Amino acid sequence: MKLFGSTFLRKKNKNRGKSTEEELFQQQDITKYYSRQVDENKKHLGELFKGTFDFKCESIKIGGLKGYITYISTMINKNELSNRVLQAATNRQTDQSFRDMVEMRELYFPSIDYKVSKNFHQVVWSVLNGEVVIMVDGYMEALTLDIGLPQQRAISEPSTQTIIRGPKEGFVEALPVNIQLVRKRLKNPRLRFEVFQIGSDSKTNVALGYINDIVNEDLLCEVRERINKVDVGALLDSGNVEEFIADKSFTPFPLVYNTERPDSVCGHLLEGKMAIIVDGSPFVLTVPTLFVDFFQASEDYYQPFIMASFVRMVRYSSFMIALLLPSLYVAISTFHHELMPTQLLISIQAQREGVPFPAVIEIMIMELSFEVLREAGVRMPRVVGQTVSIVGALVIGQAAVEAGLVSNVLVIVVAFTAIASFVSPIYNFSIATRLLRFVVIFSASFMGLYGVLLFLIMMVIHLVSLRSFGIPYLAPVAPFRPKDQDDVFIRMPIWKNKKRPSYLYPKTPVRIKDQYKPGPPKPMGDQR
Amino acid sequence: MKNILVEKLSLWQLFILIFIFEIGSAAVVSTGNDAKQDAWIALGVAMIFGLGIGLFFHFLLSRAPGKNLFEIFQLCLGKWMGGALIIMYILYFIYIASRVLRDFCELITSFIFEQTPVEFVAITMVVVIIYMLYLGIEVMGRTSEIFIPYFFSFIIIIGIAVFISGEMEFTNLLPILGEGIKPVVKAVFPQLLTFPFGELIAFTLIIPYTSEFKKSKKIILLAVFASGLILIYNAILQIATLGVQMRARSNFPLLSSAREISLLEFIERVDLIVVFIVMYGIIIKVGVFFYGALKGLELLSKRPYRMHVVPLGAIITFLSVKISDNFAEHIEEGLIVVPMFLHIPFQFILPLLILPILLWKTKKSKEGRE
Amino acid sequence: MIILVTFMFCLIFCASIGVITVFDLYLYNQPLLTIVKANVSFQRGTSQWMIYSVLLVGFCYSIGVDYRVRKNKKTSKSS
Repeated sequence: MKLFGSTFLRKKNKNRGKSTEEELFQQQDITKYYSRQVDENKKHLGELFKGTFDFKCESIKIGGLKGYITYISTMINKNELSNRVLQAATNRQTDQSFRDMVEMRELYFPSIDYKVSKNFHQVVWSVLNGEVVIMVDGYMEALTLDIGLPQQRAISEPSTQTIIRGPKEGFVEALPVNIQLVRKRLKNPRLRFEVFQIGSDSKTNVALGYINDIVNEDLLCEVRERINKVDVGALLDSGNVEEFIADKSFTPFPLVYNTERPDSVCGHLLEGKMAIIVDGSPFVLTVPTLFVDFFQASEDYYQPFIMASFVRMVRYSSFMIALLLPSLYVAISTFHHELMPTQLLISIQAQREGVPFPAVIEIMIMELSFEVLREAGVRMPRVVGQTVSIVGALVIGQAAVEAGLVSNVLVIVVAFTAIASFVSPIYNFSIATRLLRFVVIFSASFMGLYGVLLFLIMMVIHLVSLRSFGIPYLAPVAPFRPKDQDDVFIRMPIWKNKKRPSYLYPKTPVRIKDQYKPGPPKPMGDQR
Repeated sequence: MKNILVEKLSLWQLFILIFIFEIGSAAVVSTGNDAKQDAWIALGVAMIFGLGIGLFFHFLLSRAPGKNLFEIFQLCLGKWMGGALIIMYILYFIYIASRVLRDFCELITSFIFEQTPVEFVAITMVVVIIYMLYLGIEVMGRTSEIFIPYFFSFIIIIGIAVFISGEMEFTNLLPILGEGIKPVVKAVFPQLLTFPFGELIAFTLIIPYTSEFKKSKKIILLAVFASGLILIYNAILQIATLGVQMRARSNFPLLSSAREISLLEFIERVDLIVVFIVMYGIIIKVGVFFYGALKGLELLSKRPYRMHVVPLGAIITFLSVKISDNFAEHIEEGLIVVPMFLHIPFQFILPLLILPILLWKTKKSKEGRE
Repeated sequence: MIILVTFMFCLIFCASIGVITVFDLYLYNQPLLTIVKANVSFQRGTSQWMIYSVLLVGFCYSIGVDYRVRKNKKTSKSS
């Protein structure tokens, strides 16, 4: 990667696909050109793939000529190979001759996707991609047949973003399937997918999807440029892309949205955003991302809008609770007793009587042990997961209180905080809350409520300074745009939502033109 | 991408900044005590003058479009004379910023944390302000956009809550103009004219960078008017709750009146809300003065102002503590020295002296163009 | 000038100390020296060490900025 990195970055995205192939060609010292003699080609391929058990280069007779059929056996569908390729090539009664590879394909494999490779490195590239290459003696080209990949994981319900009402399909690891999931929802000829090959070792396909007559041209160029700049050995998940294309790394807040739900990707595309689909990852990124995106679940749009607006309010407040509740407890119980009503103060202090620690230590113990439990719960093998949760609940909930380590109120505080932090529809976002919570507790522990306020102002300053692909992170709120408020704190009814968000500068700002409002049919009298 | 990325202060943000800037410390520190129960009338009169002041500053800037006050100085007086004047202004801004910061530190240390040293509060506040200014003036504008709903509603809510708690005595406001117009005039000039409204001078370094300069005139007037209304509301609230004597004696009358709130036997101490209002107001106020000083340094040293943020912040912290040994001295200096020796010359006399030179220069350049 | 930020820092610092000294002179009829001393000196037993350390941080920062600017200029000239 380092060898070609610099020349690589300067290249414009148009030549992108070509340049990776050339690079592969140079890197692995494939100095040979595709030769008219197939035996020579076979020899070079054999040298290149020496010691690989699954590399197959078998001789066949096709049209009376000598030829080789080359593939990696683990990368292809064997049934397809024997049924559609081998049988077609050998069962032919009359050996017809052909002028070139295109004609040969018309004669023998009319039903299979094909490509004609003129260079040796193209052949290598195709073989690595799980395609079948047929080389015939005496021709300057090789025929590449795409017979499809072996079986993939079936489409199933997303595991991270579950909903009650709405489509239950989730993305899978295969890029074509994911694109299909988006395409079948948006039947628009202007929905485009550009493919990039990223990673010097992995050569992962990354698709950038957008709707051409909605998305802003400048934004699109910016995203393309950033994807081109991704410079990594192997791209194993969309998370790797995320870190490269984000505007800023030193922030706890996620600057790129990821989702497992095709419907939410479609919604974002229709707003004028772009989707980045990485082969091998069921998490699709959408950019530019705003703070408010993390409070909008796709179910909001399938439930009645009043309910959805209420739920959205609950999400915003639970974000604040998850962030501030423990620190408020620390601040008030340490510094500002007078802020609490006397009755409440007495009951809290009575409970804390036997506790040997100051409130900060108390809450830190509980929060940290909760973090440990949560991490263990995620990483544990599913079989033992249950044990952890039972032991954890017992230890945290009851034993700690009975042993006099922590007070009862504190358990309520920590438990409620933990639950509130799960409300955000995107898991990434709750990570930010989790981290920042410790910072606030710390600052509250020696500056009281003044510290909490100080932290809040700092956090807002930080949030406001963030940008995602040049779009301010808190966009419809700061800078304030009155016209975009219909989908932020409350969700207006769908029939009222006629404009795309203007902070994304879409090419066509209007979704639907006609002013329709649902209502009962007009009484017969009116028509007369 | 360029046109999206380069973002200037929008008019709405300018409005908010002026609004918070004016209310900032004026709402908390007792103002217009000379007018006694007519302090709110004095504020109203001062507000009308404030509109005039805003117009004057805008007129000054509109003579040389795209230039801020300091660049106008250099245009009018040449490099060296202008430079000297700019240094004086920088000192003025730093001094006022430190004063305002000290006001807040005293509030925190005398009401919330009796044990905490002033220095500590000053440092933490300056850290926040440095962070904000380091990220730019637009960040300040956008942060204010986030906080303005809370800022505004808290001020209004305090009044309503005090009223519902039954602590207000509207007879405290009587007699209206009982001693004639003299005390009002005395309160307006020079104190009220200079303290919340004349300080708009710091905005002459921000207004040229707003997105639409032409429309900013209306915005300035609106903002001054709105903040004047809030200040009058506040004065009425304080006088009605505390009475003239108590208000004059109390250092932070808004806090004292907020302590009278008692609702449902549950909401009793809402100090935190007042502290939030003051804190944010102070951050903006110090930030704006700080920014003015930074702009001057940027012009003089021809280095981006971000380089000066941390050193200047350190000086402001130092000064805010050293400005006076105790709160009594601080208040005395603020009442006697600052209006006469700092506010009036820097807010009115110097700009007025500059104006004829500027008019002459711009006229000449216009003729030359024609 | 190469050390512009540090120079500005020192200039503004001295000038602002001058300003508060003048005001103190006006308010209290004390000799100049005592006032300057009170304004600059470090009072033991208080927590004033905090602001002095902040001042030190500001000074070091400005030196650091100047150093960086100088280095950048050199590299840009050589290239």
